[in-house]
Amino acid sequence: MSTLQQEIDGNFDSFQRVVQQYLPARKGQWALLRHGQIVSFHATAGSAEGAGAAQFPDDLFSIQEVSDEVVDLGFFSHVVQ
Amino acid sequence: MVIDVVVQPAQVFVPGVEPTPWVPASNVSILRGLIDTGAGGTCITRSAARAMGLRPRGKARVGGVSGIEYHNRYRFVLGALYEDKGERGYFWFDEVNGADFRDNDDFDVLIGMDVIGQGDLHVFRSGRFTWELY
Repeated sequence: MSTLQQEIDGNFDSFQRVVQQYLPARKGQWALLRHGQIVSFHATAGSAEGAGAAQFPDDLFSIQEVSDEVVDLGFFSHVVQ
Repeated sequence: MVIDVVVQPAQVFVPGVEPTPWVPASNVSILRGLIDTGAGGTCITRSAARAMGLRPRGKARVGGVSGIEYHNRYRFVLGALYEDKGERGYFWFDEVNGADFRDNDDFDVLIGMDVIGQGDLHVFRSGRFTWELY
């Protein structure tokens, strides 16, 4: 597993533990995360990624939407595994 | 309903830097996009994401037959190839934040309602369909 993938997985795990406390106030915003910590919130995914790119030249960051929704793939859900 | 589509990485907005106008690449590869009105979100296969130069930037919770699964998520723009009076072009949709899914033999991109809803899709009893984009 790549270092970036480890960062993404770790950040996601941390984010899932705290996302409820930001709902509904920040629903739809995008969180910039690094090493399991929320760095900042942004209005769009593009600005969140841009802030990460500007702050972290090693590229080790991720972004997550503040949401508790599940992506529903309907009939083709069997292909997602 | 499978159509020809193209995918490019979405634009990144760096604070304090004036964004350059987004210009679609000319040497794009054609992918197979399955229009699925039962899917809430647009997704892309892992191999197509790699081939198009997409980098994962987060994860998504995806509903599958065996419950909720966690998949990498990518930011990209999707273009639908159209032909109008002999002239070919692309219609570019709003940015997608799509999850990945496993490779399969039938399609590369699952086009969900987040994209379908940007136009008017009409499906006829004959199996023919039209998708008006404007």
